[in-house]
Amino acid sequence: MNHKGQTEQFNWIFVLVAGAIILGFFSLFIFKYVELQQKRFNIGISQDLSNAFQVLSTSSVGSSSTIDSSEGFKIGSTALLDFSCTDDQLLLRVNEDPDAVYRFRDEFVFSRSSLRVDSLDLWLKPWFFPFYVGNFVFLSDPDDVFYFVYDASTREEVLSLDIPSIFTVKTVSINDALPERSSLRVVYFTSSLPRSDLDRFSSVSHISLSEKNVRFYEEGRWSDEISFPSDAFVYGAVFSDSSSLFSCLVQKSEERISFLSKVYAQKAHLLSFFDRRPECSYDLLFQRLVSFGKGDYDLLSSLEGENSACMLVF
Amino acid sequence: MRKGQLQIQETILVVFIFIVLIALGLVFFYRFQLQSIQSEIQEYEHDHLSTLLVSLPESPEFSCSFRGEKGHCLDTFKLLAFSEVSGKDSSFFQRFGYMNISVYSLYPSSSVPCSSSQFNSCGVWTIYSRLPEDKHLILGKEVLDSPVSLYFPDTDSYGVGLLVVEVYGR
Amino acid sequence: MKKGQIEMIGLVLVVLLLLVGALFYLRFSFSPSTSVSSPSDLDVVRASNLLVALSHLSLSCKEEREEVSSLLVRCAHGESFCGVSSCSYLEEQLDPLIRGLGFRDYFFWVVFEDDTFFHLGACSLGIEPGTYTLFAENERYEAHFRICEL
Repeated sequence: MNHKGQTEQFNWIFVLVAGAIILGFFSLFIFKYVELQQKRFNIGISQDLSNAFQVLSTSSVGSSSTIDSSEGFKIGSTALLDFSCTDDQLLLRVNEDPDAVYRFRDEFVFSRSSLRVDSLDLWLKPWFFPFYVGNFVFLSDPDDVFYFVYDASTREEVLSLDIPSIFTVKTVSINDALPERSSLRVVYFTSSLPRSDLDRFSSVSHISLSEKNVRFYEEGRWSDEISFPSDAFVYGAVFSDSSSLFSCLVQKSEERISFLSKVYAQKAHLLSFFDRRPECSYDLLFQRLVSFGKGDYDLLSSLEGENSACMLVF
Repeated sequence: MRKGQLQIQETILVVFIFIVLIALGLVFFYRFQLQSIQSEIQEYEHDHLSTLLVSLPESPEFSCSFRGEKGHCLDTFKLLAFSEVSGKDSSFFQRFGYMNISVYSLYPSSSVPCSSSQFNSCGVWTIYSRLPEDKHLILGKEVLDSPVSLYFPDTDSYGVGLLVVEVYGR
Repeated sequence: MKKGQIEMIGLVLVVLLLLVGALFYLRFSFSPSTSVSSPSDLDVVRASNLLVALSHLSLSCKEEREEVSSLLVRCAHGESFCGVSSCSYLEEQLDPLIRGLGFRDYFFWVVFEDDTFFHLGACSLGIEPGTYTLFAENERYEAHFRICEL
């Protein structure tokens, strides 16, 4: 009788242990499966965004629109988009997944460094310098509110900034008090750098329109000045909140200008074989384009003038 | 005792078979998932290629422009200039990978390859070409093409061509 | 013992059945997918690019050169080009060009005041990427392109 009782006990123990092992096995399987599906979802989003950015960066349409899950990009659910610059390479990572990373090539995407969104406000602006370089893509969370702060010396210029109405932008004087809300993105266009009470805002930057540079307020202090080559970058500075990202994009733009200048210089050289009119100095244009590509942006206006003379180079 | 032993053996066998069945099911499920992921990869690569086909003619390296205004055509002189300038730039491999990108002029028709010594009356521009070093690693090739408008700056005229993108799978 | 043997046989049968089922599954899951006969999104892009390319195209005949859009206007007015009617010339030049670009089954037609005065190919079902409108001498012409559904 004792043995029979023991046998039953052993049977139950055996059943429990085997059941626990099988249950554990299935639980592990389910967790791994969910992880895999999440990864596929993240990679899907990064692929869709990458295709969209590639097309948008050269699209002939320069417009603003709201892209959200019901009208444009069907992200499907809230996703965390992280933009970063590593080894001079601009990256987009989705939901912190190391496998859902897109390496930007020639796209200029200005955005906050981190966006947790299910919809995106987007604006495309073609950039000419003096030839067409590409489209600037500006991204923003639809809930973001921008405050542009001007002083007496910058009032006219700030009021003339042309940002589409899909973005919520309020323009105030330095003497006006800013709301207490912490979700504001404040851009100062003042002559002096603001110092006080900046930590309460979501992002703060200071743009000098006359000197063409920008600083970002990060981790309790102002970053170094970052110079930019063209007024179009003012809008880029408005939508950015990170000095490293903005520097990355400025550097990319300089590389792009350098390469395109070489292409146009070579084109000017080829045209010189066909157009031998004495008033057409393709050699001079060639030299100027080469210098322009190396960073001599003071040649910008002379390049525009040279281009209109004979066979169009750009 | 013997009866107990027999029962235990029977139970072990049943559990063993059960585990084998589960394992088989998992293997099949794994294979199914793998196939599903592979077909998704192929779909993404096809989408990427299609995106390239759409965005390439609009890229400032190739598109025609008139006093800064972008046109909807490929500038044939820029095609040649690009292939000469990009040859020295290794960053294009990061952008394009293993592929051939060519433009063929169908009107006016010409099968003469264009180069710096022959850029008049030619009709084939090899913009980018990079094959895997070990050709045995090439599993297949996907080819997509699209009509394009060609602009000839020397004659200020337009033709029609075909932009062909060939991607090598490894 | 006998009961155990019967149970064992039953188990083996179940395993065999499952294996056979799995083999059938494998066989059908790796069979090649059937080809699609309707135009894809990429075909639509290609057709749209074709319309743009044709809108800029200049055709040459000996020393004469004329844009396709001008030739279409000439065709609408019954004028000639290169010693033949403009419509015939366009047909001679455009049809092999469009086929050479990979469009085997297509329908290209041009309308002026609700009258289709020029067409190449024919089909009623397919995808149209859009129309190209050209204005000449205060007249409005619309060019359509359709990729036929097989």
